[in-house]
Amino acid sequence: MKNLPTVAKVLITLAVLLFTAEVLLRSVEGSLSGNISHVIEIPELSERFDQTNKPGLLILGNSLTNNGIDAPLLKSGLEAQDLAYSTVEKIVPDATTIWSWSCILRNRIYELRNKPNTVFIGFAWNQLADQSRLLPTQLGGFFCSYSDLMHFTEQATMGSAEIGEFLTASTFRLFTHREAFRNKALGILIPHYMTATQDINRRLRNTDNSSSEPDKTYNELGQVIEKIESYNKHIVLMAMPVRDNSYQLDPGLLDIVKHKDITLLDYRNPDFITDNLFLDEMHLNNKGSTLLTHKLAVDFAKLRSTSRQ
Amino acid sequence: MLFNSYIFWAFFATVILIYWRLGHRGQNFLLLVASYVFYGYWDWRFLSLIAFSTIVDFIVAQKLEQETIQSKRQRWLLLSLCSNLGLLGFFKYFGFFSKEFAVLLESLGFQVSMPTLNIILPVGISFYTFQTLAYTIDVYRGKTKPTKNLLDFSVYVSFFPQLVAGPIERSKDLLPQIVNPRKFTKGNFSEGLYHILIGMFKKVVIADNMAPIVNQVFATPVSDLNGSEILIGVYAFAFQIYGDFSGYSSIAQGIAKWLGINLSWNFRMPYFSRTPSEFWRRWHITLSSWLRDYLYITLGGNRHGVFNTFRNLVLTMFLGGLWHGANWTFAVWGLAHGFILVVYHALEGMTKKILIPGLVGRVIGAIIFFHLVCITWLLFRAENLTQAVSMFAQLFHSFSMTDFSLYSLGMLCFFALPIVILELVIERSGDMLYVLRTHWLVQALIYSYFIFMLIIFPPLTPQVFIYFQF
Repeated sequence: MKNLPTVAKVLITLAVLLFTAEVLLRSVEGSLSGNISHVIEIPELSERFDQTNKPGLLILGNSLTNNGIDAPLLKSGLEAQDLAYSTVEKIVPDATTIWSWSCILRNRIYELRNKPNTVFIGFAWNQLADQSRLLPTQLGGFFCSYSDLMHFTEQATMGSAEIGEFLTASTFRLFTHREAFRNKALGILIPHYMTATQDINRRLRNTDNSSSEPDKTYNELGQVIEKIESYNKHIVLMAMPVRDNSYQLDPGLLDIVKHKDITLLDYRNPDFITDNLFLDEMHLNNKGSTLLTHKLAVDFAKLRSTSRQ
Repeated sequence: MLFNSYIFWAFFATVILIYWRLGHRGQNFLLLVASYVFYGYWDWRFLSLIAFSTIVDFIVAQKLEQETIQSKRQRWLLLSLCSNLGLLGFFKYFGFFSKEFAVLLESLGFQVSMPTLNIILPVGISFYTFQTLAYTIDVYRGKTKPTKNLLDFSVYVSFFPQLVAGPIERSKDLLPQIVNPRKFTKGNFSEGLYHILIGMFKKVVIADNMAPIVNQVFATPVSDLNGSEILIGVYAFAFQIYGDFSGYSSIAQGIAKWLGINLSWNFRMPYFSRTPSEFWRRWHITLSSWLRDYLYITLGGNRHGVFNTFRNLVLTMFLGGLWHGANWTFAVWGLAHGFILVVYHALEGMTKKILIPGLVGRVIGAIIFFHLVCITWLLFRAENLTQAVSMFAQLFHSFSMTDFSLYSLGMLCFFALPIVILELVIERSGDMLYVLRTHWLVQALIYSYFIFMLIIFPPLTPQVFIYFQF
């Protein structure tokens, strides 16, 4: 080291620091946030279906479904309706859409020996459309493999920036978790960071919304449906309730539901969900979750009995 | 292809891998191809404009060299001026002036129907036209010898690190480096690395994190803002534009360095300036010196008395402002700087000593002048003059700290203060490359800071470089 040129010493030090930070981070990443901890446990959650040969039920979604559906309560509710599922698991990482869900299915569920008999997918707005937000960091870092990249470039508009971001996130945890670090550090150091950032994001969203929305397509969802049905399993879509910024079901989605004979449970505006059952503008509180889960158990049991007849 | 994009670094890695394996002519050929690919990536149709400028100025320079009759030389120079300024005028100013002319005629009671063309502004046109113009003017003035090699000259016009946002290089500095063989040295690598890292930091960490604050302030109706929000918003813009543009220049310097070519410094810590003259010797140096050498001096400079000197200053700054864009805000921004220069020179002429001596005096002077620059940034950033004037008026009302101003101030300190401190140390050392002279551990520490900040604190939304629109 002593005889090395300065620039080489600097570069070696940098490489050592980056490597150390990466290793350290990989060992503690589960404690960074509840969401990351949930992402890390996805392989374990999915392997639970393989621990038995009995029917299983998977609930896929994001924080709307996480706050909206209580898995143990659903399990007991279904049992009360004579529908026994030995394994009911919820995989609901924050801010995910069809792109993340299809990766989770491809990399964690399709390969199981005992695949879940039923897959519930909770969604709102355009989260099932190909035009839903494609977050390369999240996909590359958490849910998808390198081989999924080819699938994305075929299915969606992914430019060089997104491909680069995907590959970097797949390789470096420091990069993958940057948003969590950023929010944590700036949340502590900068006064009113969260509220100001939300305001800025809201303004950006409004600017984006003011431009005309492209027609929605559902190729990725179509592929997910075909794949699940090819195993003789079945899929149920749930339109989740939100308090503000309510949404319509896209005609394209209704077409695919009709065409592929899929069950769509519409919980956008049920009578029993009132404004006081929300934690914020979109997430249900415990009471709301209990009510919705009961309703889901009853509706699903009804559906099953109808389909049996 | 932006410097802060993955595609650019993939492109550059490919270029540099091939580049150092080639001989000198091969390197120049590769630079030309790479430069055209780099530029064509935005819009390949505009490659014809660069090719046109290159061919015209190459021929003009040869003719200027051969021709001995002054009137004929002048005609050749006029051809270069007309073709370059014609291109610039058409693509950059036609829409603006035709619209303003229509407004003027309508205000005089005429019914007008002016032709409207949807002209796309070719990226970097203001930079490369000024660079080629400088070449023909220098050949005309006998300050530079024209090159006989079209390949070398084409590389000079289109050299990709500085093609779209400068530095605007003079032929006497850049052309010999293209004409002569280049060597890759250890020093070039470490200097290039420093330029690239600090440039990326300034652009991605400082400028792009200031952008959402600035956009929020300038998108809010002025009546909904108070003085502190406007002031901190303008501070944020001051660091956004500095980080953006000096960051770009720095990355360009670094990339060129790795190709064995030295580019000029475009910024020398401008916010430490105490006077307008000092500011223009530190801010966008290559444009300032271009305007001085080819416009101010051509107009007569300071050779014909005080009034003419002041007139030349204001006119130069007005045109310099308009160079930035076809909008009255830029023109008035240039005029404002012109008047600041005039007032400064007038005061200097009267009292001789207008600067407070000593370190304290230096700090106070820099703070005062920084605020003066910030006021002019209001004109530069505002959507229109009405907004700029209203914001300036509102600046002095209800100066209480709101949640948003506290947030913005916190962000400003977190992202910009470390670079201010680093630049202060560099300024005190009097050596722009002071960091490279420090102990390797200090260098490693500074670089680690840059890299970790680049990884963890990139902006929520990546931004394009501001100066590309000029």
